[in-house]
Amino acid sequence: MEDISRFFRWNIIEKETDWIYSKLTDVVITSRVRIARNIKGYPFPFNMTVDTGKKIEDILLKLFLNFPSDKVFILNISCLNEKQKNSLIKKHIISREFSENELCDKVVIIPEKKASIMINEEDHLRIQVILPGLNLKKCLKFINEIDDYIDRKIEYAFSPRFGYLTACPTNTGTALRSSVLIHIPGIRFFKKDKMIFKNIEGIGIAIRGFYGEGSLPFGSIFQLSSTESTGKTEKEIIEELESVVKLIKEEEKKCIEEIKNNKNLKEKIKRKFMKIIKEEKENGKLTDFYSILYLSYETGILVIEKNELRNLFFYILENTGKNKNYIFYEKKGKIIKRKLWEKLNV
Amino acid sequence: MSKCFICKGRSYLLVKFKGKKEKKVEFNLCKNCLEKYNLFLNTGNKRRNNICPVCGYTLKDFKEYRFLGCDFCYEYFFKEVSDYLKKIHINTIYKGKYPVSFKADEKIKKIYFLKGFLIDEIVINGRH
Repeated sequence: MEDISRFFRWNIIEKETDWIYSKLTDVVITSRVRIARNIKGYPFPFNMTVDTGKKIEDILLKLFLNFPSDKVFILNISCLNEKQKNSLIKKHIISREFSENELCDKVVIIPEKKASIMINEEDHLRIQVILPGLNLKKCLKFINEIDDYIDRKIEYAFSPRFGYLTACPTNTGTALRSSVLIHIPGIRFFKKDKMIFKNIEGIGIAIRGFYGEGSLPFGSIFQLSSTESTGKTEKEIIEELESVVKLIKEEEKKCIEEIKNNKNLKEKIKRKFMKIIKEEKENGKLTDFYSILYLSYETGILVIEKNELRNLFFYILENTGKNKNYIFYEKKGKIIKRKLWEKLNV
Repeated sequence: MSKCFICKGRSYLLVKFKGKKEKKVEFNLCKNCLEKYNLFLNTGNKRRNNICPVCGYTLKDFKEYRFLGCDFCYEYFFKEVSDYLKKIHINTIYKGKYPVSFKADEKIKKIYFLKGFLIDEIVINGRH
């Protein structure tokens, strides 16, 4: 199969995948549903030869090239540079493990369905749909459309006893995982997060970091994820998570309102924010700074445009995890700090 | 003469699904449907060794890594996989969607569902 990744411009991909963080100022930043599928009669990716991997890749890519949509991008990850790979990881289009695995390097992006499909990751197919805001039902609708299209062309590994068969039995069944990225600086400010998380963990919802399992939270941004893949219908899994998220959303709004109506609390946030801006040496985590920054924006302490906040989010995201604790003392960082100081509603 | 629950043809077989809590469901099924829909898959298959004949994955591998090598491993190591799933999931009865290619109408799905639910004992014409 012809590698088409050399023929497109990277900026088209950047633009076509830009939907992901379009609701950065909502409590629910994104909703994500992913399903795992395998083709009947073939070994699972970790247990197959390179030739079998290529064969599966060919079967699947041919399918996606005929997918009824205006635009279908097939990216060859090994042809991308580090910056481009990181951009896809940040947008949750590919996993870090996928970007590092040399045996699997094809990802399909269908912008119309807000979908990305990793081929030969842990399973032959990992299909995910990410939509901004709380939109799990629509994610499921899009994912079912893609799933049914593939299903009509190839035979899935399926057993009526177990459901969809996956390499790891923890995913077997619906092979579906739904998750949301929530931003709760208000709840964290009042230190209610631990109590809330303890309660929701008890009903089978996992709390994870920004990049999912095994990752760290980004300030007050967490990922809430369903853990049960069997014993429930796809709709039930999604509705369960959605009902919990709605409660958290309400609580966060209450917390923000409480801060807005309380001069002392606003003053406390302002002092915290100014302290970071004034500091000669950076203390604490950069991601935690985003929490204070966002809280200042949300409560009207900091008057900046949504777009500026978005740029700051990406700047911080880009510089996190690189052991760069002092980015605000680089040239670009200093300019940002000065700008923020000017925008402070003192 | 009893009619087959699925195809309404002649049936000589009485299939009973029995559970631990004295739940019992009876179906009349013809031999054709029984074989066609593989209704008694994994209910007493004896395996020769602990190596999957399709992909070469071993039971030892499964116990060590908790991964399976191919879709047939689920059938071949049925008991071990079932036991493991019972440990990691609250409920292991499959209730999700069926593939389009899986030609099963509601009646067959019901039998599969009961088979998953009342897996403890399946009796055909008085024989296990």
